[in-house]
Amino acid sequence: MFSVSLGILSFLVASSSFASLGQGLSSIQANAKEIHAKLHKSSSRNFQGAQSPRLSESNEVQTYSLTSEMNEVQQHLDPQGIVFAITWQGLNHPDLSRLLGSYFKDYSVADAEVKGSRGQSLKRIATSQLVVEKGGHMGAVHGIAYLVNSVPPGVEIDQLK
Amino acid sequence: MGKITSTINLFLIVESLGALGCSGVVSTDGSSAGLGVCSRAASSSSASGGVDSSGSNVLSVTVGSGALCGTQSNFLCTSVTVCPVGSSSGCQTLPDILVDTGSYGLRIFVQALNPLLCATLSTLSAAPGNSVAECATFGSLTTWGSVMVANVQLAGEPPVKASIQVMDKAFATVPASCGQVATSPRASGFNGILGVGLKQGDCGSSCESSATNNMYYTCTSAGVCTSTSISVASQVTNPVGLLPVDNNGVLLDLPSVGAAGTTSVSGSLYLGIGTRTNNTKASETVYAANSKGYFQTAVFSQTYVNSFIDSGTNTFNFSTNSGLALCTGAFSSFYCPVGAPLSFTATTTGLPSGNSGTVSFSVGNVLGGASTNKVFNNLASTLSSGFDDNNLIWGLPFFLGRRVFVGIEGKTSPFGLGPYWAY
Repeated sequence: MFSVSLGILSFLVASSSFASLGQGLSSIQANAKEIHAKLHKSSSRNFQGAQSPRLSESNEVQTYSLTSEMNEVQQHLDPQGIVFAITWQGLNHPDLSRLLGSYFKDYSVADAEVKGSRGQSLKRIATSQLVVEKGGHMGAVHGIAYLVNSVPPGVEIDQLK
Repeated sequence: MGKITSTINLFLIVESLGALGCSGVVSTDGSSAGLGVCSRAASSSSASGGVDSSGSNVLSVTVGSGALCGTQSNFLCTSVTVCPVGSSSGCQTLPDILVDTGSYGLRIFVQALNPLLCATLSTLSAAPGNSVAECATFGSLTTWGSVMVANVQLAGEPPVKASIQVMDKAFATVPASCGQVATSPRASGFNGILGVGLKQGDCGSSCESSATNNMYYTCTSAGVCTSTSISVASQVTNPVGLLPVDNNGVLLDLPSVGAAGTTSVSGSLYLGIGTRTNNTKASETVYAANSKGYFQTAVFSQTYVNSFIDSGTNTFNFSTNSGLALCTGAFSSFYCPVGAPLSFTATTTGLPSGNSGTVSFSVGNVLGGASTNKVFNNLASTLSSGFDDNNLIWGLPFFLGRRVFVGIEGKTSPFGLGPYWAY
């Protein structure tokens, strides 16, 4: 595992939709501009090896971070450059209506059916395509959203932090 | 987390009497549109008290009792009195208020508030005709509603003027980024939440400097809400920190229970630390918390660096690869170890540095207790995917049979400077 910092990328708005999940790098750049967040490439990780000994080719996951005053959002791109997972941590959860894009509607329906309670610390929302988990406590929350059928072979979701 | 300099100036938040949404918009049939802050308030109130006779700084607390909290396992609750600003009349004492060391500030469901009281609370406005609302995020819960200013009275303490949240899903239009929000006392198991955790304001300086915080909003009379910056002084705030003397934290004292659990217990929430003879330091060890409100726990051959103590979580909550068996079916997020209850010893350590000490606890079978029991010292649940395996939450079971001090950030006591826990 290694880490590369490329500094701040120029913001090239290529889409009027600000979704990230299921889309490419241009959507992340559009999001960064819209929410006044700093964007930088935080890492490239090769998941070939211990976790996937059967894979012969490199299986590189690139991660881009959006940093704002309130939270930091990592967007994980598969080898084809599509965002298959988003993780975050900070003072509050990021705007999932923006980050989940076309998946947000199904997510909202599923979310309404899951009883969240102050008595419990973690909420898990699953649709046929998407899993979202939100946890933590006031002032320090975190979460993950990923497309269940788009996780590259060999990638362990637990390791996307 | 990186900081970005904001070029947007802080809006001036103005407090005004005679709640805009209460008196101006509410129709007589209660079916008002727009900003009817109090239109959904209840018409009944309760007179049950939360004052312990042993001192003016003592709130009596219960687990397994109350019309709402008593329906849930390990919900710690008390009563709080709310009055209009500067007034000692027109007050309401609200029962079934969840005592939460994992959050900051008082939040009350609009359905539980007497509409007459609600209409006399003060509103906050960022612009003429607008009112301030908040989307507050907890771990698994989000609350939405207007921010109002009230006199809050805890036990026999002098009332303090504090911003509170009136939780109301129907207030204005919930912003899309806020997602699904808490709906009602009945669905939640409480009338409100009393956040008496490590901090004062519920957002802090980040909501002063960022207008795009997606936490505080200014809402027009048409119900359209836009994110706004807000000073720490105007934020929903931990009322304990505003008390004249007993303002440096709390001491929570609950009795122990047996491995099979019990129906209910009563205990005390003492306001202040080392300020009176009933909240003094004894042989407890102090554990510093970092700026995110975490310290460290080592157990199950693992080190959890995002660990915290939270009376508002009703279980021990963690992920582990140690082979601890989970339940099946509807309870699959809970532990059901073979041979339960199993005993463990953890080591807790202050962060970023500080004392270490051991904590003994046990993990029981969540399906094993009597169904009428509501208080358990060994209820444990997991974080389903393991994505946050740095987290270990010492929930309500931690407090049973253990005196726990919670020291507020920036305040001093015989234990030193907050934020910290001591036990």
